[in-house]
Amino acid sequence: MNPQFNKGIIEMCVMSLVSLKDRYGYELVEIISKNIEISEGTVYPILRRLTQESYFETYLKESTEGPPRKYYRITKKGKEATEQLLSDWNHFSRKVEAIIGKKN
Amino acid sequence: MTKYDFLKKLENELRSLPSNEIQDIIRDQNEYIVEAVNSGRSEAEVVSSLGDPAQLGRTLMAELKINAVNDMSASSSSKLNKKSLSGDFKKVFQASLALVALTPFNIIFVLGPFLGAIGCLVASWAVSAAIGVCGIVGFFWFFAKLIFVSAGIASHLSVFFFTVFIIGTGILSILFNYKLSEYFIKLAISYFRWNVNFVKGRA
Repeated sequence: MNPQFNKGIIEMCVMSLVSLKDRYGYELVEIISKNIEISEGTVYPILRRLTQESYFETYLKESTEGPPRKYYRITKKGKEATEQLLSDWNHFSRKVEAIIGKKN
Repeated sequence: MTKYDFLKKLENELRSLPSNEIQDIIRDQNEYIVEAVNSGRSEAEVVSSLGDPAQLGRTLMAELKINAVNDMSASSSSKLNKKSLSGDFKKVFQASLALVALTPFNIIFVLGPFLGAIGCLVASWAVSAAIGVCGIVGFFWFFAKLIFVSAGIASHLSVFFFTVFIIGTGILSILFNYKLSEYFIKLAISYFRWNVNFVKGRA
């Protein structure tokens, strides 16, 4: 995938995934990289920033195997930001589709 | 690279952060790698897919410093007092340095103009200092002449007024430089701020 697209799109995917359900880091990377080719190192800084911006909050939960998992949970602020972002995205992608979808 | 090497390198890159912050990041990365290995991947493969630990460290540092800039209270821009001015300057400057490390293109757009402006400012202060020194020397000259040289009162007065003129010029130029420096810091803050937002948008 074109690296210019990546950061913003991955951020949007992460926000929308976490807004549906609490998720932990590896799980998020697995879901996204199943569909989009990403460098695994790009997701963690995004998670950390979104947490710093209080879009997410985190909690640790024991895992049956390995160390406790840090789960990310959406906050009210994060929920609002996600909705705004998704509606912008839908609007934008429809416009783009209208342009590139026309068969000449 | 082993997990140990990866975490070690990352930790080294983050060393200027508070230790609880470092521990938290290392914990998260460790969790990630163990999670990936448990799902059946090899440690070496997981570590290599995480990329360069130094790059990851730099990205995390830059994110943190950018956030410090965003957190700067809105009040500090409307009502600047000396303390918050230098504090803000430091924060924004640190963020810019972090961004220089992250995006080398910034060296041209940030470090270049910044160093140029600092150079002009230093030169201007040097001129002020030179005028000040002249004034002080003139003052001693006046007294020396008054005591050791017998001349008419007009000659002494001319030296006296000349000295007063030099000292006055010195004080004025120091005041001017002080205002100029203050203005420069404000300007630098808004420039760095713009740059931080610009790079943030690009990255």
